[in-house]
Amino acid sequence: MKRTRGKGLRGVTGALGAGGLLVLLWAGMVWASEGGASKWPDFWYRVLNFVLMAGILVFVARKPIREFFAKRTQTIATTLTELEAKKKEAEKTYQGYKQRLAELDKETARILDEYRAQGEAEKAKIIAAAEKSAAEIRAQADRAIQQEIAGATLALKREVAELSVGAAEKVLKERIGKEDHQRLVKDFTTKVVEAK
Amino acid sequence: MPKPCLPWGVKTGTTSSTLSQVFRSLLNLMIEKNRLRIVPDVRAYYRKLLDEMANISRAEVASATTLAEEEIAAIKVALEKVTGGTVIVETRVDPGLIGGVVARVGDLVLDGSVRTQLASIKETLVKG
Repeated sequence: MKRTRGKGLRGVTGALGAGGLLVLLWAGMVWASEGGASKWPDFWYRVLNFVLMAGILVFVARKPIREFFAKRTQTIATTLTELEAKKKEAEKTYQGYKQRLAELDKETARILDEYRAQGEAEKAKIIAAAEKSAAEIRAQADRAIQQEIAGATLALKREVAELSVGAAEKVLKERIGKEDHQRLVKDFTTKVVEAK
Repeated sequence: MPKPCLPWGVKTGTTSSTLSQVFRSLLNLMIEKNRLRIVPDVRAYYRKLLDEMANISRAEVASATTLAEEEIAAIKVALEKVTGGTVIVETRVDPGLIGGVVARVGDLVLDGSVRTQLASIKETLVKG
């Protein structure tokens, strides 16, 4: 950087010298076109004046210009360093966010899998409970049907027995006679003694 | 005697005529304790105790028609064989029996009625 700065300064000095030489040539040409030789002292005075002015300018302004450019270079370098650091920081942040996003994706996938598994388990549980309930209802219905059938059969048997015995009772009441009564009493006495 | 409107003196006065001393004392005690309403129960239990002492059983025999004397005697003999003691038979007519006899001796019931046989047949038919 220092070498670059030195080259810049020499360039400025060279440019000033070249400028002075050009002014000198241009002034000679102007003077020659006017055709008078009595103006040479004035010309040389002006050239000397210019050279002195330029030297003073270079001597006075050299240090502030060098400092300005050095400061400017330093500022730019600092800015570049800061920007580089910021860029690295931003890249780090970016990587961090990228990693977090990847982790979030993984977490989301894990939570979704978990919920899916829970849902499947819940579904299986509900289906099992429903099947159990259905089996119980079916068994209950079977029992109810069996009970109904048994009840209906019993009622039918009762009705048949009631009618049969009622008819038999009616016939017996109509046809039983004195001899039958006597025979029944005799049977009673015989059976009572036998039962003892 | 058990009427509550009669005064105590009147009730006790009625027991002083021809009754034995023990029985009169019992009646007076029952009058005093206001227990005249259980006199029929006391009488029945007393008769039961007397029967037990004499080894006598009382049989209540129900029949569909009126029983002849011979039938009653036959039943008495049969019941005496069952109980092993003397049996006094009291008869009554129950047409609902249709036919046959039902004898009750104490807690023992001997049922030979047609009604019960029909009920048994009906039960057998129901049970299949």
